[in-house]
Amino acid sequence: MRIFYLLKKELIEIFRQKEMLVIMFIAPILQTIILGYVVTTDVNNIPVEVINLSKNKAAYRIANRINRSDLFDVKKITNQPGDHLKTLKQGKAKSIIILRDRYDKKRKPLAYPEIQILMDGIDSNTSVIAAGYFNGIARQFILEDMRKKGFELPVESQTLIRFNPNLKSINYMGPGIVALLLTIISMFLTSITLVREKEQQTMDTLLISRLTPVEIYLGKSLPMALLGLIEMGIGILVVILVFGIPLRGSLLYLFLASVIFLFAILSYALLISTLCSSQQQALFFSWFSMVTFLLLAGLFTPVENIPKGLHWIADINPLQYLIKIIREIFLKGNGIEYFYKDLLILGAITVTVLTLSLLNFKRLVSK
Amino acid sequence: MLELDGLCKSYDSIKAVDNISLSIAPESLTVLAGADGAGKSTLLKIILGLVKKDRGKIYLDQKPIGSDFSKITSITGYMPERFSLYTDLSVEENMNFFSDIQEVPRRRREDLKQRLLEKTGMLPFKKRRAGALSGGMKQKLALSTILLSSPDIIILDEPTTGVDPLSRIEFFNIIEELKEEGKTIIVSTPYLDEAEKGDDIVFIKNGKIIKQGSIQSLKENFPARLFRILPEGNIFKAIESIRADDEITDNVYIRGRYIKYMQSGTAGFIDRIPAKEVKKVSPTLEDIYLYYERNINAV
Repeated sequence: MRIFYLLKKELIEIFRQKEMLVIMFIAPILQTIILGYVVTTDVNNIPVEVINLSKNKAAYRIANRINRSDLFDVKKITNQPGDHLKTLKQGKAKSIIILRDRYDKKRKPLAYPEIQILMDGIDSNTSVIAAGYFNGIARQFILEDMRKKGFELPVESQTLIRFNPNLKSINYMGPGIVALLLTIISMFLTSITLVREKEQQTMDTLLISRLTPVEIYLGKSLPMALLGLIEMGIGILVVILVFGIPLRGSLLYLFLASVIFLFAILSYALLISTLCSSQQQALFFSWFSMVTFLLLAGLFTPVENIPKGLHWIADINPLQYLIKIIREIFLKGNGIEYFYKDLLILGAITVTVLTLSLLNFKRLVSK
Repeated sequence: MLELDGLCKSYDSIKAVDNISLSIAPESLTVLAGADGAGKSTLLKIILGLVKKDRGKIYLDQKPIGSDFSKITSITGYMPERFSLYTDLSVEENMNFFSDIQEVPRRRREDLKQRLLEKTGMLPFKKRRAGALSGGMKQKLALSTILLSSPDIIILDEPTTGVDPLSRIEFFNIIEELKEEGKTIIVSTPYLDEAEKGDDIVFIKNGKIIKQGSIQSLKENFPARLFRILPEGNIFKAIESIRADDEITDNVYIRGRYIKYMQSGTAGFIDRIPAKEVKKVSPTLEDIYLYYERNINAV
């Protein structure tokens, strides 16, 4: 019962700080929207120059298709060769498509032109994706043209994309962003909560009261868990209503996973709080941990891409599991039978870190 | 009765509390006096179990408490050195919170709250946020919250540091009242005028008790003769020349336009001080503290 007095006090304190309320409730909505639009792997409007040196009709039609595509922002179409390196250096275009005639052994022009793609490789990801787009456009044109002429390819693959048929990266990133927000808010707010009591010397007052260390610990963490869940709810609403990402799975499972994750991340934050002697230190530690968790969570790059030596960090990173589960629930509509192992790992992380932080808290207060 | 026996606490090579033994009489006001860093706060925290002692024993009513500090904390109200309440909560909310966690019975609570706020003069400010109170009011609020559980022992760690003179007087008036009500009070302070209010005064330096006793016994048993000297000419020049004399330099200090000289033992060097007027005076608590602080080996 005494825990609830502490819980009530924490909530009053939080809701009294207007700046904190803005950070907690307005910032997540704005962040979800901004991140949803910005953190995307979709590549659009790539600045391109098309140099068509071919007299071939097919070359003209390929250049036209590139010009009409929304994927490219065609800056110039010309039939004059130029200084391509200079164009790339100046950043006027990120890609230069050069179409030239091809000839057979008798110096007779072939039906389809040679396509050379020059890319600015600084942003390797965009370059690879853009090259794929160009090749796709050219291949599609040639296929259609050959069919018109009565030719059929002996083997043709057909791709069927499930769960995210339009390959919209927001569908992939959106649910992950909700997990990210949950981490940011919970980590930062909770890591300073115990250390603030230490700094204000109110911890001593609490410790000699009838509250036990466990009650203090839980009384400080439960309000944060509650707020974290509210934040999560806001984030989910934003990704569904603003970005139209479908929630195909069970909301109940989503909250179950979130609650387990919340306790894991709160345990980490409380461990930080018990290790630090000032709020400044705690914030720095939280920031460092959060960036590490974020980079090794599979939000931006797949976990499989992480070097083997760093896999152990990814393995104890709760964010990795939540992002995986949340995507499965949101996009695949999977039930618990598909991710119960992840939930168990998340539970094991929670129990381990919670025990560690509680022991550390007890050690700290019995100095 | 609270008894401390050979308490020790070191932080690396620094002895914060060095073999302190002390008996705190019930229904008395004991003042721990000493400069900053003397070890007063550490000693108080050891009594409450907030700092782990290296050695020594604590007895409550002649029974050792062992490691069960709840025997003490359950009957003690503790006010830490700095303001230790919640600045975003109002005076009343702070009182309610501490009533809750101290499990003050609901039927007694309102009456008790009212009486304490009246006693400390905080009643008109009960809706004000604690963070918006003056230094003196904050300390009175802190005192009110610890009194909610009606503790037998009250431990106040430098309660008036940074508080204006009027509030300090008011605060000590409340402490006097509490003593009259039969509470056992331990106060630490760096101010010797406050220490004079104690039934028992304990001077602490470098973690050790350098002298202890009632103000009366300390004055009666002061082992030196004290002189108040009006020097000839400029007082600063006079003290400069006195300080060059190795045999008397440690026993002189300036107070106002006078030099005070403590003569211990039979050998007096007062003739060496050029004086217009010399008068033998009774020691104040400050003189007593300075004597023992400077002659630590004389204890």
